[in-house]
Amino acid sequence: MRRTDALWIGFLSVLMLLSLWMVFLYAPTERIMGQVQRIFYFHVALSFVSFLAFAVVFLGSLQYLRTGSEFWDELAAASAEVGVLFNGLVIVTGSIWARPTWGVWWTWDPQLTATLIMQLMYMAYMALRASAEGERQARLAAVLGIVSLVNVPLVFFSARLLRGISPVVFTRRGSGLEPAMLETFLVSLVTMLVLYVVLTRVRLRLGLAAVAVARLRAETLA
Amino acid sequence: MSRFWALFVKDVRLELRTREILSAMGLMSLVVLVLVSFTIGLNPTVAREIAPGLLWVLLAFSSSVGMGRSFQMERERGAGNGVLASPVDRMTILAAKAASNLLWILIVQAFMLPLFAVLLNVDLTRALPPLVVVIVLGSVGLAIVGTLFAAMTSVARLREALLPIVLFPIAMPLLIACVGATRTILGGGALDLGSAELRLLGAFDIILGAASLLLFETVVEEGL
Repeated sequence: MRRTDALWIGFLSVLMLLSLWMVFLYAPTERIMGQVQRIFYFHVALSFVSFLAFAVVFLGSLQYLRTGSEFWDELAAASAEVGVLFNGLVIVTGSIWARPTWGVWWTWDPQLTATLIMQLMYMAYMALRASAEGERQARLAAVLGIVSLVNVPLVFFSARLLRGISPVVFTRRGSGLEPAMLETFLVSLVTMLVLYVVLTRVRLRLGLAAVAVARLRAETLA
Repeated sequence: MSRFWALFVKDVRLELRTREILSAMGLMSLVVLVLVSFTIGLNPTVAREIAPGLLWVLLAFSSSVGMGRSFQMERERGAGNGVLASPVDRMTILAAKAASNLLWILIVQAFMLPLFAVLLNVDLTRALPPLVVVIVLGSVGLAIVGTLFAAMTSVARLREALLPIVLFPIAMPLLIACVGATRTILGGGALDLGSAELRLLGAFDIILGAASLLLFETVVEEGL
């Protein structure tokens, strides 16, 4: 393991421990929602970072089309995978929160619906990547990566239209955050950010290695 | 402009010879309509509830079947690269192909609407003009984005199977808006041009339509 990897993972470990302590012990219990509110620290942080991940997919796609460098293509691929993971966790944690609060595992609440649609979009991106090969795949995936992010604002706007059909929607943000809660949230956010960086770095390196192997194989067999 | 028409007429002529796309789309629509009607929509009240949504589910599935095949014939005979080799700019190629796909979607819808009204017991007489507007606007968006994705997926390993997987999530804002507008219309309301649904529909058509036209070149860079 290289030194920078060790440093990143060390940093992440410290942040994780700090996060866990803050979320479960340091942060005060929320008056209305009780203990279950603690999941928000992860849920919201994961949500922010998954948006970042998908924005990186867009950027990587754009840069790949402009420069043709495989680095950008593999970055988009890596970020998409981590983004799908994080976004999936947003949905799961949201569901876990919803059950004791609203009594249901799922509701067609605008936020949840839009997150689900985003998940499907990027899972489709991964499916496209898996089903084409080589430079073709990279180019097609880049196009989808661009279209997907352009679509995200439309997705969120459209999800709000669904409110007319489903029953009352709670505002999950509640009132303003107490200082201790804000601190906990910020630490949690940084933790998730660093987790994203660590995972994406690993996946990116894997992707670039695969590209290098493919090139070597092509050269030796030629 | 004449190149657009040349391509468009070519597609129409091809399709009229074999009618593959129209029959696949029509049968798909019919099968899904009947399937959903007797599995979910037997109860008349339920049928009326699901009618707006079902209309668009039918349109979505049948159009993905049709569009998935729209590049097929050309690919099989290597004609796709022939089109690319001719002095037409890529946006025109996409526009012409999307226009012919739009035509198929609308033709199939024209046949399906009476059946739909009968099976689900929906009264379409007063609703027809605004409904047609929504169907056309929705189909335009679906056709442009769907044609772009059809070109993308036709070169992928999974081919046509991948098209719905990629198209539907992207098309969800469009479908949500269309279902909402359809529900209002079938409920007896008038078509409000300033409503959120129609604004979203317009925004989707414009934004994603433009993006699709611009990105088509990249998709077919290495041939069809």
